[in-house]
Amino acid sequence: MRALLGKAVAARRALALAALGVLFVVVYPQLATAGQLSFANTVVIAVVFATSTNLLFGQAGIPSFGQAGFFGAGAYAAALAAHEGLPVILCLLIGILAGALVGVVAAAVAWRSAGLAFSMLTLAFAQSLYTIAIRTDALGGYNGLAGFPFSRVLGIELSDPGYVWYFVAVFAAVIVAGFWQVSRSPFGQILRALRDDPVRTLFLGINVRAYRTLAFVLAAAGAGAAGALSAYVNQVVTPDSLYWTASAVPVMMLVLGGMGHFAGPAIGALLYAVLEHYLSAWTTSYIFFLGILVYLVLALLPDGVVSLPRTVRYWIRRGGGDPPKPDEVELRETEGAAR
Amino acid sequence: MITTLLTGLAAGSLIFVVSSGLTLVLGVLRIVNFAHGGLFLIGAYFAYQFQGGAAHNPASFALLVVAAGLATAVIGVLVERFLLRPFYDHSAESMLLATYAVLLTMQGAVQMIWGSSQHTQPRPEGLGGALTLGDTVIPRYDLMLIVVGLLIFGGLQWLIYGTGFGRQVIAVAEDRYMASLLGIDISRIFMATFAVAIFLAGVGGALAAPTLSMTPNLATTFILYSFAVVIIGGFGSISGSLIASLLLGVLASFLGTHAPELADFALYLPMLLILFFRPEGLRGRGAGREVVIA
Repeated sequence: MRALLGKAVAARRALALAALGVLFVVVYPQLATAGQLSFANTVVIAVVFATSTNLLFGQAGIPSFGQAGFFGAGAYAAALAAHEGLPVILCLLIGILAGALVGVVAAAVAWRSAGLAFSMLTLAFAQSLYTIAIRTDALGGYNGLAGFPFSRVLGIELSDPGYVWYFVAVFAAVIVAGFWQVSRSPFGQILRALRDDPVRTLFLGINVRAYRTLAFVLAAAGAGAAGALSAYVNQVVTPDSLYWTASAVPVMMLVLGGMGHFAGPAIGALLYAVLEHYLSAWTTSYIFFLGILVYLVLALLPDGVVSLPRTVRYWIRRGGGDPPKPDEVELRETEGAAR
Repeated sequence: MITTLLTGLAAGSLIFVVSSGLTLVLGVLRIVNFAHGGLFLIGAYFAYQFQGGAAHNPASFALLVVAAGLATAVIGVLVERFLLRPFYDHSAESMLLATYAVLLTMQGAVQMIWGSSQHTQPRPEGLGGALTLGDTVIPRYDLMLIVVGLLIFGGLQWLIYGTGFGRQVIAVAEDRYMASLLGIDISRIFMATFAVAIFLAGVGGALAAPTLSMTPNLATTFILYSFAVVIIGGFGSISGSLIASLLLGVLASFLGTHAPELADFALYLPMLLILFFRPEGLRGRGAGREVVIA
């Protein structure tokens, strides 16, 4: 009964949040300056990138350090498609497909190892794409690609910043909703089981390799979508988006926000974008402070800022002592999802 | 031909000095230490600072390189003790990211102290030119790098196989729980291993400084070479990382001379080949026993 009531409340809350979100998306271009609007686009793209990466880190327990490779593949593919004069929607879909395809290749290479070696291999794979990009004339070398105007969707001119924002917001919402469905599906459940105990999951007759590969390719497709959106918004694609340090960015977003919660990566992406925006405006050595902040969150809030209210509540109620351990929290949330 | 080979071997020796430390930490502490690149960077800038950007005679150059290595090692020990230790009982991903956060902070710190513009450190006196034997030209500094690389390899082999400390390190790398039951102080071994590894990172940076123009971005490029070496040589294998380093150095040198458009791929071709024919690396032991020291 309580579970049912809780479900009804949760559903109403989700509906209210969604309504607020729609209102925000519609009204924002009327209130924001051009700079604020472009910043909002950046945040939305980061949310897609971080949410897709969390399918690997938070759910499947796959520590990939090469997500920039798929982001860049999506960005370059969308830019090339736009250059051919294809409509925006098709360009974005091509970006997603490119991310997924490169993900298949990366999975084939990286699954030849496991654990820490896997992280290093995914990093090396993405970095080899960077090398290819800077050495290929068709991809613009060090300069990357620019000058590929995206024009029409269903006959509507989409170069107006307001329309760009609507388009990006809706497209991103669809992708994030897709990842939400995946995390709630039986497939998502199995990924969490795999993360927590791969051997037992194997004994249940589940094809561990196939599930992990599918998760890897889905996350790569999501990163490709984020890359394609960034090509569309920024009208330029540079090889820097493929450099290995770019792969660390979505992981830092996960850590800041919290991997154990679906909204964690989105909150982390917002936080990271705000931090980067203001810190880099204030000092050129902003990575100094960024590093310290990421370290402090890792050390003090291992579940990210989404766990802040819970941790504070715990401190108040118990008057000190250790906050709940990360694994216990994860377990509780997994049970919640199972109900 | 011989010049290309020697240049490659010299570059490989330099990569070995840096990557052997990364391998050591990976084998004993089981940490992929991104901060290693940051400490390499700090070593390079320390050497620049100690030498005042001027050429010295070889003896004081050697002294200042060792001093830069020691100063870097002190920072390394502090990092291990206060920043990495809290993460030993956390997941591998948190640890990985903690070391990455430390790398970012170090890069930012170097940028704040020395600026992001390029710095150049001249080679020491007497090691600037080249030896000419018949029609082959051999840069003196390259010869010195090869000798130093071999000396460090020999020193590490002696340290690990020839001393009681080395036997304890092997024991901890093999089975840290069992080692602790036998009365080995794990945390002391961790700290000592880290100190040695970071000393090598610092010396590597100090030796690399005269061969390139220094910017804070060096940290991210050199960590890539080291990663490639670890993957090719095998996890935690020091002899594997020597072979892999020299291989990469020579390959890059030959491609640079004969097929410059392929030179950037020198890192990835051997890596792909190794993965398909020997995924555990040249000297690794394979799945389940991926951590070895030797």
